[in-house]
Parts: sequence; C-alpha cells; structure tokens
Amino acid sequence: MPLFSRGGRRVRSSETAEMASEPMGAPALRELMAQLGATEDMHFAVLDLAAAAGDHLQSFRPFSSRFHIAGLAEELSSWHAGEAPSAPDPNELMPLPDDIPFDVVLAWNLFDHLPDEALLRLAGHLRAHCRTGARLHALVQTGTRMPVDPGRFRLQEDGGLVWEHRPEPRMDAPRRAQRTLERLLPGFGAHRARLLQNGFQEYLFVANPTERH
Amino acid sequence: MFDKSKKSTPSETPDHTPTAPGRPGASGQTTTIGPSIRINGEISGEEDLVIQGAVEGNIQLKEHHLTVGEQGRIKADAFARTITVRGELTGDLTGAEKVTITASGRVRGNIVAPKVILEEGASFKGSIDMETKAEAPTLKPAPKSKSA
Repeated sequence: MPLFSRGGRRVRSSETAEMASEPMGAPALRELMAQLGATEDMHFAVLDLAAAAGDHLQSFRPFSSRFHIAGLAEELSSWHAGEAPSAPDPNELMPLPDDIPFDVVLAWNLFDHLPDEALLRLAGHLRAHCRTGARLHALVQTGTRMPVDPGRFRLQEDGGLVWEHRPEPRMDAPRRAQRTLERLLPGFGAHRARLLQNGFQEYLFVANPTERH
Repeated sequence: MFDKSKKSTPSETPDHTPTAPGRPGASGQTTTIGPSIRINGEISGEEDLVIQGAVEGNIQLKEHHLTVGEQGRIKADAFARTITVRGELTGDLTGAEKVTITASGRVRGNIVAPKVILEEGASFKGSIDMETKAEAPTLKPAPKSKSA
C-alpha cells in the first residue's frame, strides 16, 4: 500500500512491483522532431530532464550539437523516499551550463511530481537557460492518481513513446489544468496541447521573449 | 529558432570497437591500478590503463584506452582514445573516438567524443558534445618554485 504524508508527497516505494510498458503516440513530439529534422542548421542544444537514456541521446543525435542530461527523475525518486522539499534551489537541484542556451527541453512526466512552488522556481531556471523560441515538450498526467515512479520513456524510431514504469504504489496527482501550468511556467506559452489515449496531456510550450533575454 | 540557414549536415558517426578492458593496447601493455591504490596527481602514458582504485587529478592516455573498473573511484578530467566507465567518475571526459558508460557506471561531468554510448542503467548527469573535435589538453608544467 502506498503511504502518504499530508499533501500526498511522502510515500514508500515498492521494490517488487512489476514494470508496465505503455506504448503511446505523441503527435506534438513527432511534429517537433520533424521540424528539427527539416531545419537546415541542425545544431540544437537539447536539455533532457530525465535520467540518462541512450535512446534519447541517439534519437536527438542527428539534430543536436549538445545534449544535456539533467537527471531530475533521479532526484525525484530520492525525494519520494523521504520528505519532499517544497521549493528546492533549482541551481542545486539541476545545475545547468551557462555557455549555450537550450533550444529544446524534454520534460516527460516530471512536473506532476513537483509542488507548485518548486515547479515555479524550476520554470524560471529553465527559462533563464533557454533561447527565446525554444520548445519545451511536456507530458502531464490528467488522472486523479498516478504512479509514484515517474518511470522512463523509451523513444521509438517513429517518434512514438513507450512509458515504462511501476504502476504501484500510486499517489495523488495534481491534475493541473493548462491555465495553471501556464501560470507555473512563466516565460513559456502553450503552443500545442493534446489529450493522449492513456490519459497523459501532451504539451508543446514555446519560450516567450522576456525582458532579460 | 527553427529558421536558421543551412551550414552543414551531421556526418555519420564511425563505429569503432575499442580495445577491450584489460586487453593490451598497441604498445602491448596494460597497466592496472588496483583497488587499494590511491593516486593524487597527473597520470599520462602510452599504454592502456585500467583503474580499480581511487584517482584524483588528471589522466591523459592520448592513443590508448582508459577503463574505470567497477571498483574505480575517480575525481579527474580524463583524455584517451576510448574511455569506458564501469565505476564512479566525477570530471570531464574527452574521448578521441568513443566514450562508453556501462550499466554500472556513474558519471557526473561533461563528455566530448564523436560517439557516446549510454548503456541501459548507466547514470550520467552533464552535457554531451559529439561535434567538437576532441583534442588532448596539454599538460601544464609544474609551477616553478621560487629560488632562495
């Protein structure tokens, strides 16, 4: 049984739960990759918030000159074993290089695992390291409950995804609406939003011009 | 962002098979730093190197293969023809041909190499640059001591 503290963030994970694999279409991602591939100067800087994944690296290799792996999913997993900080310093949580602004950010099933204040601070951190016009591709849960394990997404050759995760234990999901997400992601505007068959909402955000950038 | 003019297209990455860990390199030599050994400073050489111990500093094997074994604990920047990490490494890696992080490898730092392989289960945080030409850094001479 999943164990929750108040706020539904503190849980005890199960080491024995079986892994599940859910294939899913991700049309906005496919569109993004097609757009990257059709661009003549394919030297994009890509930021993957997930843990290291060889298939992500290889899939974006044709388009990217720099691929940065932030490993945020690993940090979140360690949070779930203890008390989740409400607003960790994003520079400590996810230090990013200052020399090259990112053109593409991949944020798959991670925002739901962050409290509002932490997401707000993380978004500011991301925006500060993104070029204006950068694309942020996000997958967000729409159900009331979600697995504690964010899992990992295996990128298919056709641009589809397979979500590999432990279905149990589960925890409350924040169910953030698009308007809420846009408030928590200042500096980014939703360019595409689509509900996928498995209950994920797929977003493609665009980094808006800011005074600082 | 997506309307840049054409400059170049990425070339295919050559698939080079590195010298297997423990197998002698072109010099016919492989050196192993055992698990009980601790080294602080710079390591350079003309043979393959397997590190199972603890190293802090810099490692330069221009034409050879560096393996950080499962027991290896490294805090160093490393340059080699190919690099395979099975243990823990904090630092920047430059591989003239290839860098591989195996399932047991844990790396924090940046990688520059024309080919990078992250095996399933590998842990890595940092940037990967597969376009910049990997060039060996020159060893800095030791600072001269002041004469009396």
